[in-house]
Amino acid sequence: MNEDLKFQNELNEFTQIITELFNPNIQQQRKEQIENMLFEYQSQQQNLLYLIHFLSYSDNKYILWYSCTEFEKIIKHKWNLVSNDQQKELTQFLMDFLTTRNSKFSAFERNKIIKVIVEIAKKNWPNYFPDLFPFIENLINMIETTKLGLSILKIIIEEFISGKNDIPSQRRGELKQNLSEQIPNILLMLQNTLEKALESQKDFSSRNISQINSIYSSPPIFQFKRNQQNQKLNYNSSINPDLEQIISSVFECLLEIFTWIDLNKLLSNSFISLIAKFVPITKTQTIEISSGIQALSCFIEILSRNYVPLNSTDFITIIFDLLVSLIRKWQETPEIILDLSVLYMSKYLHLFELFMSRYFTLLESNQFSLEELFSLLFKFQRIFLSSYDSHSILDNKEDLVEGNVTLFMNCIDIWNIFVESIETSQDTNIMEKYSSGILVVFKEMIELIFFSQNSQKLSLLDTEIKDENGQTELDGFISKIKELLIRIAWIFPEQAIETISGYFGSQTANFFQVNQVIGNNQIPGEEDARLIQYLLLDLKIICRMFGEMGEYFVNGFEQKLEFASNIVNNFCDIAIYSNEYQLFLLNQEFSSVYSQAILSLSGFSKWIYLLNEMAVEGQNPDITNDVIEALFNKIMEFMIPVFINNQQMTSFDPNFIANNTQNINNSANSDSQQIDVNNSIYPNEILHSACVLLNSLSLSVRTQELLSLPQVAFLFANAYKISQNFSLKNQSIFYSALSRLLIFPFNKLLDSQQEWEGRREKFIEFSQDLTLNIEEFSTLTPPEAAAPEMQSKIIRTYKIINSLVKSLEEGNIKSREIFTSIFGRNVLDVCFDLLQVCPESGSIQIIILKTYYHYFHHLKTQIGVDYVQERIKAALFIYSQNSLFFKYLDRKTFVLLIKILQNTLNETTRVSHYENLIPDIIKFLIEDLLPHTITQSNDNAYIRLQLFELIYTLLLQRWNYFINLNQNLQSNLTIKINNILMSPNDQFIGLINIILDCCANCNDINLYKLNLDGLLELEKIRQLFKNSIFLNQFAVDFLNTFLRVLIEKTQQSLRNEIIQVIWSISSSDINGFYNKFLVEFLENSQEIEIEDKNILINQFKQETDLPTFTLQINQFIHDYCFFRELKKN
Amino acid sequence: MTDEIPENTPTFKIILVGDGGVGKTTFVKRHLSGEFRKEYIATVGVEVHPLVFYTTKCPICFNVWDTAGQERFGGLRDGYYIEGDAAIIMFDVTSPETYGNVPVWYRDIVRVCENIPMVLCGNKVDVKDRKVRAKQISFHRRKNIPYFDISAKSNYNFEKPFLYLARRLLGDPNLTLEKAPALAPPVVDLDQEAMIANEKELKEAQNYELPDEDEDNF
Repeated sequence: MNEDLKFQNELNEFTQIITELFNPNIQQQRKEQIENMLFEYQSQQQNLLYLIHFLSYSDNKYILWYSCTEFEKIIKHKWNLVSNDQQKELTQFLMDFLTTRNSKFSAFERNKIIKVIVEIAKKNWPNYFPDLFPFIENLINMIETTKLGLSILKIIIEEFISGKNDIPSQRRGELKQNLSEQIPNILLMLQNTLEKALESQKDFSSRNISQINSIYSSPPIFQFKRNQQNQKLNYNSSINPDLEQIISSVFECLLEIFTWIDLNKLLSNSFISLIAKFVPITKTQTIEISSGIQALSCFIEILSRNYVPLNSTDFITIIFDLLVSLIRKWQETPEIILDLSVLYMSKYLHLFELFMSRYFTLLESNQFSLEELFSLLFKFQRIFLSSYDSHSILDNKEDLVEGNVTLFMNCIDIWNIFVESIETSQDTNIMEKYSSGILVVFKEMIELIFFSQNSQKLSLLDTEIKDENGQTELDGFISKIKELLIRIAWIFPEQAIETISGYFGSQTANFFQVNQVIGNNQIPGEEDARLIQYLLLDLKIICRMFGEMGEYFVNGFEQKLEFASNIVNNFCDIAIYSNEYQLFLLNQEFSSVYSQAILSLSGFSKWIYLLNEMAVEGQNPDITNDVIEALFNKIMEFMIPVFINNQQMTSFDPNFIANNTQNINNSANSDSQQIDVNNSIYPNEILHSACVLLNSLSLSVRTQELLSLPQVAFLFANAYKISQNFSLKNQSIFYSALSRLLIFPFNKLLDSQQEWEGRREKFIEFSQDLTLNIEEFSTLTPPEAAAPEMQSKIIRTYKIINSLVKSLEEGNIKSREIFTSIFGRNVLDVCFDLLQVCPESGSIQIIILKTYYHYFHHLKTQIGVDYVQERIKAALFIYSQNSLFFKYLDRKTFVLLIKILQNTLNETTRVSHYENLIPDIIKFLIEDLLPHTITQSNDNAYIRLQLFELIYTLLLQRWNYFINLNQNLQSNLTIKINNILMSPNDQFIGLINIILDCCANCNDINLYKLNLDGLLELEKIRQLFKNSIFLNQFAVDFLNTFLRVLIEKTQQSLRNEIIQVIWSISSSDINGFYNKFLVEFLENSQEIEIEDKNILINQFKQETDLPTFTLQINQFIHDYCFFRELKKN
Repeated sequence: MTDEIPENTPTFKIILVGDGGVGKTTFVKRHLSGEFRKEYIATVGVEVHPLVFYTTKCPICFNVWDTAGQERFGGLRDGYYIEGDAAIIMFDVTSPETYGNVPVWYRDIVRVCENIPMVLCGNKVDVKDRKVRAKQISFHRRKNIPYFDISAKSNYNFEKPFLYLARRLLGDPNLTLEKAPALAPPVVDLDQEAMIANEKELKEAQNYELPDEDEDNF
């Protein structure tokens, strides 16, 4: 048999086998058999000429794939062994093969051959492959091979710029540099190709303008002058398919290039203009993404990269005209929009948004007609919502709502940027210019989120599907528009408030007639029910907006007095009216309006404070004590019924409130036990809002007048009875608000006028139930403490006390003294007793630790630092002695315990007091805390994070304890940890070892980052890396560890931070790092060849600054990995 | 879940790619029909899972080529992609590195299979310390492909990428699933509120404040 015949037989056989492998119906067993044969075959032969023959004599695509894959392997791993002649022969063969058979190849086959050519270029270009770019240029210049040339160009750019780690970094740098030099030429080629394409596409035609949709016929919001430079844009129905593919390939190349080149230097305005001409091309035949979308994507890329051209006015003129022309065209010829995809429209809006965010100031200073652009946007955006009713720019129903709402939201984003830009300009001329237009937008947007005006569209968005933030589409829609409205309202408050107060007036007037509509049986007719529902939803929005604007009425108080008074009184009246007819029992929306009105009123608490001040000062005849008293009474009129919540009030009784108010006034001075306050009928949201309002008032309005109101006195006298059925959260707010009114200084009174003693007595009375509970807890036996009712009582009592302690943060010394004279060490002593009595109750432990935490944090001066130290020591002792504690500790308790220790260590001003605690904390940390965080659960990951923070706090704040102690003190502070005697020096070594171990083995990115930051902070503050213990015992281990982590890529996203630590450790002895450490590191490595080690050490330059050191290390790691792969293969 | 695949069911080859460890295998194994019928191609480290979905139009079978272990063991590399009808690119939202490699996976697929429908999926959204936030994910917008947050362990959004691919491959944008696919029970519960609370706690802890979500509005 002659050689040719033998080869032909072999090729036939191989073709049959490999085709069978890719047959989808192949049996699994046969498939495995062929795969084995294939791998055996691969290992037997790698003869270039043999593979070239395969390709030359076969049309089979699998043979092509196989041969090219083999070429790639040879080029990547054995190219040096291939002679120059053979390299040239293969290169020439592939270029010829590609061009001569181009028309027969599928995209996959063509790309595979190109990939092999590019692999050769990676090794040989430009010196040993000088024909590469002339070859591409020739292909691009000939119409029949233009697309092929562009495909090669695209793959070259992709592979040269952002390929995988398959070439040494030095070579990658050379390729980038050489390619950068080619970019002007490449851009010119691409520009020419686009121009030729445009030239050959003669049939660009304007579409006929047909009837204008009614949604465009409304008057413009801005009065504007037309920009004279608007270019005429043409729409084409389709482009010739070949041309379409060429244009698409050019844009693909441009999108790749624009991501990394220096746009400011290389991009001309003529090129920008050329790209803009493709934006109107929206239809496609053979490709999926239209040229218009690709052109818009190019602009988005350019703007995203903060493009600042030399002639910026020309650039913004092109983009501005493009945006205006398109949107105007769509307005004039609405049916064009039917041809646009959602993708196209979203790209347009994205470009619009980016353009405004980058160039608003420039556009303003050059007097571009933004009024025109935004007037067009204002009218255009309506189509996204109108398409609910009529047509859609989308072609399927499910996307109808989703796509259009998203596009509308994109328009809102643009408005937000616009309004924000106006706001930040701080230019009154600009503000004035846009005020009337913006207020038209304001009005339209408000009406958009009013159910009374827009119920049909809003209902479509009201689905039960929630997004990642727990919001429905309707929630997101309303909140986004509200965000815009509030932003506008703060820029143009007067006009905005005038607009919303009109709605507020009519809505409240309707609200106060609701009871007439509902009638006595409280069941409205269907139509009335619907209208009431819409009224409530809208009123809630307006109340919320006014609440957000509360601060506005504080400045210029007197001028806005009447206006603000009306609003505040309306809030009160809504609540009073709701109480009167128990509307909140009817449905959720009534309850929400009530709750929102109270919350919005709390937004006016500063205003109420000022009103009170004016009344006291008596300078304004309209603001007398009667005014403020009337307001306080009004607030109490609705608030007290909410708090007392009588269980007898389960059916409607219009006289109830009047009767109970009488009771209140009586009981405030006499027998408070008369009032039964069980079982809430008020929804929790109303009760919570009332608590929040009381809290806001206690923060701002602390006056004798308020305190002396009989209703307030009633609350003090009945605090426990009133609140016992509140949620714990509401109880805490309620108690802290009242406590603040009692023991915080009154507004604007001298210390001598504060009546501290009298208020102290009142505080004792007010908190009596809590003090009695504390006394009771001190005598509990374990079985008594374990009873569920007792546990609830303990938790409630301490939760309230903790909220009182936290509220003291804003109080003065006297407030703290009064508080601790009643709730002082006695509270913590009982805590300690309970800790021992209830070791198995996680919830008791957490509340006790919280109490410790808050007391140690806020009241350490009052209870004494020695006492704090003693309590911590005792707590650590019982925790370490009883393993039960750890069994029942949850994540939160662990974290609290660690936080308490951390706060103690941070107390450097009282360092001598807490010094004795340090050995106990270290012992506890190593013996008890660390072993409990070893398992890899998420909970433990969080605890480990806290634990390492504690370690760094120890080292940072108590450095002198470890390092600078004399011999005597060292021995005095020596303790047994894990049965080994350890001096402070040994303890230091132990802690650093824990850190080293973590840096070597930890996968948790948060913890790793914490370690890197911690080490750098220790170096910065304490010069850790220059410390003799660290230098002698740890420096090499840390460097080894970090280099291994970089090589193994286990913490890739912290790469730069790790290099910074390596630099920091080695910079004190960069010679040692280079001459000793690096040499030894490579000597000990078995992963790479000796000659490669030499290359690595020789190319590593001793650098003296971090940026170049970072480059060197990155190159070292990259090449180390490259050589390792080479050895493996 | 062990139903036979009906005759004449349209069948498509789906390429599932992404860095090692992003959860490709866990994801594809959630579908019980695939789990019961999977083939294993031992020598090249690829598993083919036939997953059947019952759409309003007809049943559809996706042969999902899970390239597990490919990153480490080599194998046929882009040979796996030949004649792929669609692709799912997956990354891990807790690992920015895996998101960084998405362009390379995309590029490799496009070179072999031009113009096939593709989706991008960010897996492990159930994990508390998510690193790649939804707002940071922009690659799909550049390439005009859809993106889905998924959680293989909690079955969250499991069917979404397949429904999108089914619509594209069958050319019916209104297609919906007639019945939910039989999935293995979730290994973890996806509790959005807990996730938000945990993130908040973590943030608070980093600011040296006491985590106390009970009193967040106080």
